[in-house]
Amino acid sequence: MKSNPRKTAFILSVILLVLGTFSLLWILLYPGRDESYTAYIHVDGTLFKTIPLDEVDNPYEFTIKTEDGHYNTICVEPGSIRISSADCPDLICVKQGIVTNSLLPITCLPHKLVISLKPTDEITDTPDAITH
Amino acid sequence: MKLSTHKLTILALFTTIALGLYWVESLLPVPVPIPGIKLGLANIVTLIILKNFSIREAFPVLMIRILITTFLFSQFISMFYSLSGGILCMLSMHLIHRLLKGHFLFLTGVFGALFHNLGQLCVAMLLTSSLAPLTYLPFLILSGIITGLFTGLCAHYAQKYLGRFLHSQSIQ
Repeated sequence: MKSNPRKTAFILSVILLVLGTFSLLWILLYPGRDESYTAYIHVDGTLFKTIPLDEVDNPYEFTIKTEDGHYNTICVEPGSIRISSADCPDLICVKQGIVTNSLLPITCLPHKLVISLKPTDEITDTPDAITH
Repeated sequence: MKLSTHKLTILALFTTIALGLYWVESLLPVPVPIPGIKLGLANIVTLIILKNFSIREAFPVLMIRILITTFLFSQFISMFYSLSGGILCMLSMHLIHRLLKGHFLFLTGVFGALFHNLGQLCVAMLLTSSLAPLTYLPFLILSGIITGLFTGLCAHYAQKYLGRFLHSQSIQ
């Protein structure tokens, strides 16, 4: 390789700058739409439950048990969802708190549990219109 | 690879330092609730070995560190994360280090951190068998650049003193 390290360093820095700027813009400009969301709860890759969050009238809790006896307790409130308690070692899922949009899913990696929100109207299977 | 007693001792010492740094880091609270974000202090050691020796020395030290930390601190499943992140980090740092001909050690550190996060993200997607973890990518890129710059600069400045020490002991 003939290129001098200074030039390589410059190119690499530019790559990092572009990557960093894109990530920052993505996070900051993420559309915070006040739509209604549906929560998708996946356990070990399979869909466990879907909850349309705008149809929740009264807050309630339920517990998901994993095959090896561990648990996550999920608290559903009108328009939001959170994991209120769990016995995973890092408790990252509990610390994340309330989630109200689709920017970040709640993930409990030790229990392979993912709760992701998607806008309700984007995922309806019913057709907009049928023509004959 | 001919391993002199002197070199063996130095590498064993570095493994111990890496373990110590890993332990210290496990005591620090992480302020953000995103899985996978951490400082990666132990990578300082990998960077310094890469700078003063080569990947042939850095790789075994990394593997031993991952094995011991898994047994001491964490569950079995976290070994997959550590291994995927560690190996991808190692390979990318080796490549960048050669591209930069050994200069700008902190840049090597940043790329190491980025690829470490990328490797862990891939395992997270495999283990949860969903694409959901991909939404963490922008967060992990940003945190990788910041933490990589920090550990990279740590290695950069440590090298100023350690390099002189290591070379005065006549290690090839």
